[in-house]
Parts: sequence; C-alpha cells; structure tokens
Amino acid sequence: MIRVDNLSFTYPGAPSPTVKGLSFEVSEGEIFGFLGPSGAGKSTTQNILIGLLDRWQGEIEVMGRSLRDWRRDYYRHIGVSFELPNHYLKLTARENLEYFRALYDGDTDAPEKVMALVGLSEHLDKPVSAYSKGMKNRLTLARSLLNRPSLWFLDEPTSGLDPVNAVHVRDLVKARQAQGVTTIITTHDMLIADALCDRVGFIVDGELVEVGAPDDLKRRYGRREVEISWGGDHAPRRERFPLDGLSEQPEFLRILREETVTSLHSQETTLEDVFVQVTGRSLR
Amino acid sequence: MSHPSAARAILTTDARRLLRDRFLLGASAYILVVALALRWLVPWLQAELLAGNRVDITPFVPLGVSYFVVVNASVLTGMVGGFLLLESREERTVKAMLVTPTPLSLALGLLSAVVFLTGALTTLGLSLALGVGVPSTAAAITSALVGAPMGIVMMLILATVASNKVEAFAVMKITGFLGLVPIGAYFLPEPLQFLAGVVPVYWACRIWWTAAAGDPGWAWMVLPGLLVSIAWIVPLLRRFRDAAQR
Repeated sequence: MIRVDNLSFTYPGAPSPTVKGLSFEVSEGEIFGFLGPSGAGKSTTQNILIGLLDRWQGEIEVMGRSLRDWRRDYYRHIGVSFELPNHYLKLTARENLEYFRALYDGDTDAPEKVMALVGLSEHLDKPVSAYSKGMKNRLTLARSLLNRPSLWFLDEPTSGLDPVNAVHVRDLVKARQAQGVTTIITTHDMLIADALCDRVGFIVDGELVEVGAPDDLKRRYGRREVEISWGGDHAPRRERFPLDGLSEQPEFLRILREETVTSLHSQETTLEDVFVQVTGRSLR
Repeated sequence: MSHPSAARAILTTDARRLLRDRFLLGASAYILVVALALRWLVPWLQAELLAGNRVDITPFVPLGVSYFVVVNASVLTGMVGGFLLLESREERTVKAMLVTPTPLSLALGLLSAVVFLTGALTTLGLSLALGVGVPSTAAAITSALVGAPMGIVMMLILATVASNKVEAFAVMKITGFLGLVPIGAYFLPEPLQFLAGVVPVYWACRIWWTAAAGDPGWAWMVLPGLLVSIAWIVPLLRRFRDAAQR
C-alpha cells in the first residue's frame, strides 16, 4: 500500500533535516504506528504522506503510484484525522459534516452514519462550540471517514479521550481493518500503539531507528526473567531467575518448596521500555 | 471533482458563519449606516459652512466621499472576508479542506469574488445613495471596480499576518492607515503623490476625484490600479497557502 525509500525533508530555513533517510513499507490492511517523542518527525512524515508538504527527497509510492504523480484525486482514497480538531465552531456537527461531504465527489457516508460510528449520534445538531475536547476529537475522526477511505491517517487518535471512548476508537480502527482499510497512526501513546498496531516504527530525531511488531520488539528487547518475592514483611527477599531452564534452577525450586512466596512476576517489558532501550530517549 | 456542489457548500457555509457572527454583521451594517448619514450630513454641512461664510468645502467633497464610499466599502468588505478566512485558519478547517479533492483555490477564489463584488456593488450603491461628490456613472463604475481588489488585499493581509482574532484587531489598526494614504496623498504635489500608488485603492480614489472634477483623463489610471492590486494579491495568496498548511 505504501513504500517509502530514503525519504528526507528539511523545512525552509531550518539548519538540518527534520526527516532523514526514512525507508519503510506498509502492507494493505495493516495498522502501522509511528512512535516517537514530540518533534521527532512523526507528524512531518505524515504531512508528507498526505501531500501537505512537498519539496521532499526520496521515493514514495502509495497505492501503486508515485506520490508525485497523484493529484487531488488522491484525497478520494485517503482519510485524515488531524491531532487538533478542524471544525467550524459556529456550525453544528451536521452542518460541518455536510460541508465537508460536499467537497468530495463519489460515494460518501451520511453524517448520521459516521457520527454513529464515533458515538455522537445524539449530538449531531448541537453547535460544535458546545462540544467538549473529546467530542471534537471524535467529530474529527467521524469527518475523516466521510469518504470511506481505503488509507486512513490518524494523528494521536485517542488524545483527549476518556478510557471508554479510547476503547471505542480502538474498536473502530480494528473494525475498519477487518474491512481492508490500511491505517497509519502517529502517536506517543504506547498503550494504544501496543493494542492496535500490527507493526510500529520508532522515530527519533527524524530517523527510523526500529520497525517491528510490538510483541516481537518486546520479546527481542525484553528481559526473559521471573522475579520472585518471599519472606513476608519482617524479612522480605527478592530474586530474579532466567526464564530459560527455570524448572532446573535448584534455588528457584527450593524457594517454591520451602518459603512463603509473596509474589511471582515474569519480567515482560512494555513497548515504552523497548523504546527507551532502543532510542535512549523518553516518549514524554 | 463536482465543483458546483462544492462551491454551493462553501458559499452556504460562509454565509451561515457570517450570519451567526454579531461583530461581522455589525461591521457589514456599519458602512450602510455611514452612507445614509452622509447622504444628509454632507449637504447640511456644506450649506451650514457656506451660510456662515466661513469655508467652502465643495472642492473637498469628492475627496471625503471617495474615502467613505470607495475606501470604506472595499476595506470593510475585506475586513469581513478577512475575519471569515482567519477564522477558517484558526479553526483549522482550511487545513482539513487541503486533504479533500476540492482545491483550496476554489474556496479562496469564491471568497475573493464575493469580497470583490460586494465591495464594488457597495461602492456603486453608496454613490447612488449619496448623490453628492460623485463622478459620472462610468467613472464611478470604473472606480468601484479598480477599488474593490483592495478588499481582497485587506482580507489576505488579515488572514495571513494575524494568527488569531486578537492579533487581527491589531493588524486592522495598522492597515487602517493604508486607507488614509490616498486622502493624504491628495494634498501632495506630483510626482511625489505617485508614491501613494503602492496602495491599490489610491488609484480608485484618484479616478473618483479626477472625474468628479470634470477632468476626462482618468482612464489611464485603471491599469496601474489593477497591476498594483495583482502585485499585492499574488504573494499574499502564496503566504496564506503556506500559513494554512502549518
């Protein structure tokens, strides 16, 4: 669906490139996440892919065609949900959606349908100025689905959402994937990336330093250990043992047999730990 | 791309936004109120001053009228358009439009056309309503058409230089001086006066005064008037597009 080769981009007047030699591929129907701290180059990469930035170097192929060859018909196929809401506040959600719907030719979905997808059906005729931050973000998502995109770009899709709605968004992305939609997510939320993405790419200082499936990365960079605690409050003890060959560790087996075990945890790593380990940088 | 339906949606949406904004509605009504007031005020003032044997303001009436009719009509319509455009930038709907099949140039072109036509028609309507200090119909129409692009310039300056409405009011105060430039230039000798020609509406005002004074040699002023407007509009459009993408 997307093939990027040696992509670089420098903002006019900037002393150094924001994106440096990025190469990656995204398959049809895949959910691919760009992870990185603020200013890492994630949004710049997304803005290049959605055609908002030009004068980039390298090769980008989207849906079998060079991005440079696409004209405005590109936007019939893609949906973009920006990080910050883009709505006319004085208009109702219905008026906003009808307006943007009219900017597309071809088949589009009715405002009622896309609002139902994001759980905002009851608020269709309310002015957007009366919406909460989370509702505005969900309306942005709804708008990005108007043209039934086959390639969907989401920038921080769960930003400002409560946990329940964040789960709804996650389910919505998964449901779209089941219909064959390819999704590119830009986020610094490791939980959403871990839960949603088939593969993630870590971007730091404009460079793609690692790409892989979240589980693979966690396995590769995680510690295969188990931590066991025993001894109660007066003489607490704790020790770690390698997971490999655990059943043949005499000390581990002795603790299990003779001591009062208070906790036993496998030392699985999180995606955030992997990110810190790979990049030496925090996501915050 | 089905431009007619997109154009309809853009115009309807802009109209809705204007009608739901008390400030912009007030600004739209202001110019009509001023024109109606002038309709009665200018002849009264003229008679009062002459009766008192103090000053004959007759030679300056076309100058004053050109400010209220030509400059105000274009600047105020430009301000209304500028606030609408700035709001689209501030609410990031322009950016959202950039990722649809409809080109931004359609929305900008439509808004510019509305600002141009409203400015020109307002100038013509006001000159009909005023009746004093007004040149021949041909000159009034020409002046209206040459002056109306100033509205587009004002619209783009507001929407490009300011990044929010608070900044827009500050920008408006500064750009308000642009409208006074032709009036100040009137008192300057030529060729010094031509320095004011960098302000697009100067040429429209000059057409107005020249024709109102009975001088038929105003036709050549159309070309510099249009060229100066284009010289402002083209780079401002580029800057607006860049600002919208951010």
